[in-house]
This record gives sequence, structure tokens and C-alpha cells, in this order.
Amino acid sequence: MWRDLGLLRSELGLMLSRWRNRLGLGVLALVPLMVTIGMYQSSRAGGGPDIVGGLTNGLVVPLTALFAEAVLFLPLAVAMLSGDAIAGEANQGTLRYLLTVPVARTRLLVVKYLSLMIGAVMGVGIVLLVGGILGVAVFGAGETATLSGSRIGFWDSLGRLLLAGAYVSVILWAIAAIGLFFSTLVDQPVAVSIGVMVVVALMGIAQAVPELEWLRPWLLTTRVQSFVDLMRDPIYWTQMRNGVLVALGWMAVFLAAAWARFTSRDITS
Amino acid sequence: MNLLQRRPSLRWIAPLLTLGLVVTAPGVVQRVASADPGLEPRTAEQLLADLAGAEPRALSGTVTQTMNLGLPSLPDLGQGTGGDPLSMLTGTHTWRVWTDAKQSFRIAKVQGHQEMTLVHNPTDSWLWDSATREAVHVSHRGAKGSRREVPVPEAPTPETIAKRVLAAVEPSTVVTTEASTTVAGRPAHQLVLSPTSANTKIGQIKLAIDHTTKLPLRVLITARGASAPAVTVGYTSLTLGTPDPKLFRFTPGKRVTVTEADNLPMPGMPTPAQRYHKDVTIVGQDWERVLVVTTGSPVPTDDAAVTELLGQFPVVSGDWGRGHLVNTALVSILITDDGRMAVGAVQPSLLYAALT
Repeated sequence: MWRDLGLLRSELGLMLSRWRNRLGLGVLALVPLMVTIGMYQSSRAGGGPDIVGGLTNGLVVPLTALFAEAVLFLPLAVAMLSGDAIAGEANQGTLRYLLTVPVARTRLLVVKYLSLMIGAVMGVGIVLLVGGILGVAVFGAGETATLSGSRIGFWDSLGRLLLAGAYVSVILWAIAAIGLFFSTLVDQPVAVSIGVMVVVALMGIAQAVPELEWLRPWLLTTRVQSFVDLMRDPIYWTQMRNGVLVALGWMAVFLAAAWARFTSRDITS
Repeated sequence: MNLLQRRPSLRWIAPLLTLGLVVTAPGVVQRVASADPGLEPRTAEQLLADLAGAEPRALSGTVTQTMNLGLPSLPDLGQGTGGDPLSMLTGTHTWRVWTDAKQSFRIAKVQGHQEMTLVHNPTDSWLWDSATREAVHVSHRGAKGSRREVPVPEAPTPETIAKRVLAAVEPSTVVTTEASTTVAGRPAHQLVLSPTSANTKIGQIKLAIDHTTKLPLRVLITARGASAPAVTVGYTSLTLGTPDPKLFRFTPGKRVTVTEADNLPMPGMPTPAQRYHKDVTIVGQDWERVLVVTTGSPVPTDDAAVTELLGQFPVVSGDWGRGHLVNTALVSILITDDGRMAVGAVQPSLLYAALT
């Protein structure tokens, strides 16, 4: 147990020490900055309606940034991390050494997935943190207008913002499970990242094809934006509950597949 | 060595099994959720009496409307969120409803990332559209402080639809019952209304009636000869009890454009006459009713979108004129070139007759 924790800590340390991951966090933080600039200019120009209603509270910035990043940037970040998870180690030849340490493969896989989950939360966290600080600094901490036309206080909107972050994280965990499976298949981290992004892109395309409407409830890309329902008054939970269930389904299938592959595979490289 | 270590490929059974479980889960859940609770049967007469005697209940719920008329998806011709009556003819629509069963209610139409909300209480009515951030306010206070009645739109909840359906029942209908079912987690009886007229396209209308409250929980409308319902309107969740009174109040936020009005524009299921100042008449009786709308202006021929939309439908003509016929399993719509429209759940011949 403690050894696993140590393994997780070293895994996270490794993840954060990589320059491309730090750069990735920087890119994620760039979007809230852009949103702040855009909203500042439009609010000076009189301001048009935006996705979450009138701009009366700085917390609209992180919410808008999350909305903008949830479909492409955050999945891309998860895709990059999952490339490193197993395939990266195999590519560098370190996987062999890792497995000579007496760690069961299943436990190694669990640690790898946990670190991906934490990585996804970090990605969402940086968007919310940077967005929240910038938003409150520029627009203040007033009331927020909901989609239902009512107003909610600062702490209420902060709570809803954190719920939105949690919801997006759960969807990203499902994408991370797909990534982990791909990572056990090949030795090239880039191939894993591309593979995950292909899946995400395919979901986006399937969403737009009328003949594939029956598939729509299963698509993570459609599900991820349901957190907008948090901005209704009272909160409309149905779609988010379904979204979480769908994400759990994807997780279960791909984690089982990753386990089947990783525990039965020959590590030769 | 255990079996999995000797035959590692057997491990692939785990993901395949999980996949099977995940894919079949919604169907199983659906089946369990609509299981027959085995209620003691009630006769059709008893159920009709139950419906007539049902008391309004304070409740919070979600109503889902699924339209499967076989129409192509129509372009949104109205402005804003679901304000266009035509958009109600296709797709799935979700309404959240709250009522105290007395004088106050709130209806929110959830659509994508927008919302249209109607708040009605004894002193005020508000209609809010999140897409335009506009609110329409109707005060119920008339001149010199007197109270005046404001007509309010009805959401297409199972109750309002059942009321309209039952008004059309006699005498041209066969009323039967079916095995009980579960709707929104509540045991319900089922009443089946089958029109006898050969001119209507409605095969049957099935009402699910709550066992304890006698409220209509779901309405299924099936076209003649079809097996799957063309229209489904039902509660997907329902909680009895008085909702939080603050839901029945509305305070416009900053930067909300408030328009004071004498009457509410009707959202979702508007009365076209009020919204577009058209002339609307109803021709025929009971199940053979045809709604005739006269716009007074011919269909524009220079508008590419309109031409393309109408071009999908065959041209018909008769001594009533010439027009395009949208002939679906459940409804017929005739749009004449001179700008009249006839709509009904009837055979096209009745539309022609209604226009002459």
C-alpha cells in the first residue's frame, strides 16, 4: 500500500517534471486569459449575451474557459499524458526495469491510471484557478445571472463552478481510460496521443451526422458540455447524471481492456 | 498456476463482458423502469371517471416530449428559444414544471444551452428567454388596482394534452384498457382511446394514469397501422409536494431587457393567431378537426430556404387551389401557394374539403 503511494508520488513527480507537460499546463492557462481579454473588451463595448448570461461576476470567466477547452484542449492534454503512461516507458525501455521491481502489473496499471486521473484534475484545476483569479480581479465577485434569469451569489456560483470542474474531470477520466488502453497496445507515445485524439475527433463528427443520432447519448464530446445545466435554477441534474454514467461505462470497458492487454503482454523492448 | 495465467488470452473476456453489460444496461434499466406493477385492473369507465375527478396536485417534474412524425427536421423560423411553433413538430423537447396546484406555476423549457422560462403567480407573469436575455412582464393589476385575468399559455404536459384528448372522445371513440405500467417511477393504469372514424390518421391514444393521484402521466399517440408511437409526452420524473415558493417569483437581473406587456406571447405551443396575427379557424368535428390558418400573403417564391423546404413535398392541386402536401403517418399539412395552411391528423382529402 505505502509502496504504491510512493510509486504514485514518483509518477506524478515525473509527470510534472516533463517540460512538455508544463508547457501544456501553460497552454491550458492561456485560454482563460484570452476569455478575460475578450470579455473585458465586449463589456466595454456594451456587451452581448454570452453562454452563461450577463457578465455580472468574475466567475463567468473560468466557466466560459472550461466550456471552450472541454471539447478539445483538455482531451488533448489527457491524450498526451496517456501516451507517456505505458507506451512512453516501453519506448524508453524503462518499462522492463519497472516490472523487475516486485510490483504486480495490475497494481502498476492502477497507479498509472490514478496519475492520469490526477493529471486530468490538474488540467481542469489550472483552467478554473487562472480563470477565477483573472475573472475576479477584472470583473469582481458579484452575483451571477443564471440561465433561468435568476441571480445567485458569489459563493453559490463558486460551488457550482467546482461542480462543473468535477463533472468535466469525470468525462476526462473516461478519455484517460481509452488512452491507457491505447498506451498498453503500442510502444510509441505519439501514436497513443494521436489515437486518442482520433477517437475524440470521431465522436465530434458522429455528433454532427444525423444518421448516427442513436449514437449521440454515448458520445463523451456531447456529454461534456452538460455542465451548463449547473447554471440553471434550480440545477438540472438529469443530463449530468447520465453523462457520469456514460463516462463510467467507457471507463469500465477500457480499463478492463487495458488490464487484459497489459497483464497478458510480453514485455520485450 | 491458475487458469488466467496459463491462458492469458482468456483475460479479454473481462472487457468484452463489460462492453456487453454497458451496452445493454440502458435497455434493461428502461424495461425495469416501465415494468407492470400488477395493479388491480380498473375498467375504462372507472378510469375516465378517475381522470374527470383528478384534483390538481402540487408537484415538481420533468416532462419529455418526443415527436416522431416522419417530418424532416425543420429550420427554426422563429426567433430565440423554441418560440417557433414549427420546431415543436420534430425532435425531443424537455420541460421542467413546478406548480403549487393553486395559482402559481413555473415552466422552463430546457433547450441545449438555453432556457425559456415562464413564471406565473397571483400578481405577475414573466416570460424569460436566456438566448436574447429578454423578459416580458405582465402585471395582473388592472386600472385602479383591480385584478385582471391574464390568459397564460399551457405547457404541453400530459395533463393539458389529456384534457384536450378527452374533450374529443365522445362519441366516435372506442375506449379500452391495457395492462398497468410504470411511468416516472409511479405505478399507472393505461387507458386506450381508438377513434372509429376512417378519416383520421390517429390509430390510438394511450394514456397512463397515476394509480394514487389519478394524474395523467404519459400520452402516447400512435398512427393508424403503426406500432411505435409518433408522439410521446410524459413525465420522466415527478415529485409530489409544494415546491419552494421562490421558484414562483422572478426578479430580472442586470442587463436584462424587460418589456411590459398586456398579454404574454405564447412560448412553445403558441396560438399562432396571437403571435403572427393570422386568421385561424377550425373545420370539422372530434377526430376529423382541421385547423385552417389564413396568412393573407402568398408563399414567397424568391426565398431560397422556403422554396427548398417546400420543394421536398409533392405538389397537389384541386378546385381549392394549388399547394404542397406534407403527408406524414400521423398528420397532414397542406400549404397553398396563396398562403393558406390546413393541418390535421386526417387524410388529405379532408384538408382539401376544409379549404373549399
